[in-house]
Amino acid sequence: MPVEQLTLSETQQAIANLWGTDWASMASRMSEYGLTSAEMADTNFLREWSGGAVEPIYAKNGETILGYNFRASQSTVGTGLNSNTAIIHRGYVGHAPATTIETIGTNAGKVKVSRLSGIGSKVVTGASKLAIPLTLASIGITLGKTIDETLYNVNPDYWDSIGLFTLNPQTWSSIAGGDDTLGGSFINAIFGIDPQTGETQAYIDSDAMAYMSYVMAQAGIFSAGGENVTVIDNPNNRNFPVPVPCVVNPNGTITGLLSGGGYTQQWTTYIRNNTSDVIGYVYYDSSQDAGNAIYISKNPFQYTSRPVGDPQRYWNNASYVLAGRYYYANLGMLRDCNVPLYMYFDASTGTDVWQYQHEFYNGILNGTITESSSVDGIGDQEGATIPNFDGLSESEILPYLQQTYPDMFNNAINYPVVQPDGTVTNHTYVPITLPFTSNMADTQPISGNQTQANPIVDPSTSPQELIDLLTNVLQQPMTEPISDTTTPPENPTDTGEGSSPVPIVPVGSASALWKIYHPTQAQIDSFGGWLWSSNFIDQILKIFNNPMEAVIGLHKVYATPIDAGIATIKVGYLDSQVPSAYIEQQYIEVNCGSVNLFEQFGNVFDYSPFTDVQLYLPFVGIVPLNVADVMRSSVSVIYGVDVITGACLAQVKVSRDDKSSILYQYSGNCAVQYPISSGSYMGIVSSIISVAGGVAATVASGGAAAPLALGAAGGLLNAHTNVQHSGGFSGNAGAMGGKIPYLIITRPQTKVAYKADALQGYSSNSYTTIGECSGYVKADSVHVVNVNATDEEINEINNLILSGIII
Amino acid sequence: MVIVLGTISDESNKLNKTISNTVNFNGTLRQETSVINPSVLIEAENLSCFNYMYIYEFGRYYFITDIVSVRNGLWRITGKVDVLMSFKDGIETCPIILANTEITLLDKYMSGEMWKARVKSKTDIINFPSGLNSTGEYILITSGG
Repeated sequence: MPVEQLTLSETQQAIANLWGTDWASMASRMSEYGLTSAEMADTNFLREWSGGAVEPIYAKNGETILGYNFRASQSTVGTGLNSNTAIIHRGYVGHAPATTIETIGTNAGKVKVSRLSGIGSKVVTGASKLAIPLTLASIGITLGKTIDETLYNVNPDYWDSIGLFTLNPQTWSSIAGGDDTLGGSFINAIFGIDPQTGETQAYIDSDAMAYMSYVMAQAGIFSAGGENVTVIDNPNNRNFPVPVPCVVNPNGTITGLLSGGGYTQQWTTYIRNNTSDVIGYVYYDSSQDAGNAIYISKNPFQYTSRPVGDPQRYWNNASYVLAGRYYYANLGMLRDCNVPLYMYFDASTGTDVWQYQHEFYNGILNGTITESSSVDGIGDQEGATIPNFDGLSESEILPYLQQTYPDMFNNAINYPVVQPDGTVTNHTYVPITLPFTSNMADTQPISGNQTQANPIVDPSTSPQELIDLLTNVLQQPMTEPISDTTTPPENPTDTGEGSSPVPIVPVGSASALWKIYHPTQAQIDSFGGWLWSSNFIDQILKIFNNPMEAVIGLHKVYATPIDAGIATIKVGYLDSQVPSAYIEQQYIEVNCGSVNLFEQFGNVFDYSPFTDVQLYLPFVGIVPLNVADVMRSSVSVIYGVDVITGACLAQVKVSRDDKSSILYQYSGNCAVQYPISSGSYMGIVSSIISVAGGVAATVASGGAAAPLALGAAGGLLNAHTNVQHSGGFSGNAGAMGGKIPYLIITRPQTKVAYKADALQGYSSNSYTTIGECSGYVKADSVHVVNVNATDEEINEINNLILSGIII
Repeated sequence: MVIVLGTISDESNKLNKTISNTVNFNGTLRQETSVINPSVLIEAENLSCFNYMYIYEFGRYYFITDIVSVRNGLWRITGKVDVLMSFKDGIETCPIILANTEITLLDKYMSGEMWKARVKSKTDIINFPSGLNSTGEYILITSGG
């Protein structure tokens, strides 16, 4: 798909989407900064102004915009920009502006436009294109696998053979761009860069990760190995009577290895697989009364061995490398266990010889072997979390990844992308570990020392290959200073310690007393038909005076319960014969995901009283959040739901700078009760009236005063008035509200005078000497010392410094 | 005494000023005058182009506050001491609690005079990726079972 020129409105929307609406407003106010009306009318002026950097990246389907690339070549930054905000850096762009511009910088003829903040103090770049082999290898490493050159020995074009383009062409065309070749297609990626250290983290779209993981799983990359093998010969032909069946099961256990009995001389029995490859052998030396069972594999493996008759002792071991190509381990030793097996006549001595059965001293008969992958060259990282995709469909991969790798999604960046039709699609970008390669076009990337545990590329410690790779991707050298060293860090480094305790959802239920069903609409209808049949009434009346007492309740809950199985609906001891899913887990958890709240101004305007943040919670209402709690953070909402009563607890978790805690918790009820008798109907109505009365009382007291109440800093002209956006609502009323939480962020429209920094200066509140300062300097207090002047002159010096001087 | 007349274009509150167009005059102090607000007589053709002076004997820089033509070729110049320029070396060593500054030690996260907000604000909405079930699920509870 060729890069298309955006219209002005599309460009403004794209910029607003990425950097916030201040960019859009700035676009409309560019005349204030020197742009002529003719330039304003040019639909590409923003492209020119920002270095020609706004270009959409389309997916293969030509309909979906994956992201916007904001990087391009341009020799100069527009001269009309608000110069108190734009800081030109040698290598990269760094600091937040006073009003609207985030960061602008130049480097070797290139302009970089990016924005500060995000999670922690990262700079989040615009979209970049990652090559497919590099992305696939990254996903494998991120999910705990190792990749070595062996993968490419048999098939140099391995990644081209796994069906990435054909397994689900529809999915593929929506997540990737380019054509259906390894060199011509790409995955969208963004990068989080710490402007102080240069540490860089790559992120890719979670949908792309899910599909590509699915394809890799289908190719067996995540499957445990296991080969059916048979001991088929004895090369030394030493009294080995018949081929001995020996099977390495898919789960790794080996059975039948020694059923052939013992021998009097040295012998070696090879274990071959179905293609006659030697994968192991058993060796025995009668003179030593000992032997070894060696297992050889083309893949690295782990094994556990246990002594026969001593199940308390065991060893966990990893395989060794053999000739750089195979992996082996000595799985155990043989010994004579002195159990008579059979006797034969030795003609050379004229005597009977007793033969004893041999067994492993610490042998594989009680051990297991688990190969890490059925694909040559793929292994497991030590201590990594390895996925088990067995039996999962394509649509089940992403939920599985979210459940298995919570940290990955907790550290994800949500990235809204405006589409050609004006809608915005939300993409979740998850962190990945880049492979060990310096070449974007490398079709044979390997994991090297890259691991799941350490996805960040640190320019001070990472190998040069990775630094070269990121230089290639980001088009900027990582080793150059990437922040203005004359400006101290703006974000505070100390953001607090500690995390809140992890809540434990109760388990179990008194299911012996009742049964919770999860019927469909049709099953409810069928059950109703049976419930009011004469046959049922006749029987149930024998038990209860009121037959409806057997039906405890019917309601709708706005969370998806976890079904335990299918059973027919029973009332007391009567069976309706209506099948329905039933539930055994009373409490369930609904994760609504997380959103990132960026600093948009990089100054006081991002915080109270200038900026307000509120959160809409389904079945709870709109609740205020402390800006200081949530700004520059990732905010997550997790609901705990009691499916029996509908009671729900919305927990708001805030993550920032590797810390996370549940800072807000609100309760509500997400069930809508259905009347199944006149008595229950009146109970429902009375409860609704009770809730409405509570809301009315709120409005009558605090509610009336709230709309005009000034914030805590009421003396500030620009402090927002606090307006209550909703009353508390839950249950029946809440069912009519939205079911997806959202943040409401009210930000000021700012105005900082041109050159205000030179004439008024930024607040500082620091101790120094005047000689250390430059530009405009105004002191809160000063000690005039070392000045040989009259008292009147000293007083004047004192007053001048307090009112502001220019160094 | 030596009087150096010159011209400055810097702000009066600038510590280290740039003096140009300097001319030296020699004279004698014939009457009493203040060190802080001196008044001196100088014989010259025209002094109206000067706005700054330095009096060597006093060791101070002065803003020229008034120039009076006493008679033909004789001018009375009145000055006011520029304490910043006169004592700049000592001032630079003075410790301060810095309130506002242009370049060094800035802190954009503290409220200050330069931050202004317009009356109008703007509201952004950020939706979470997912939420509760949108249509609801039936739950039927019966006794026994």
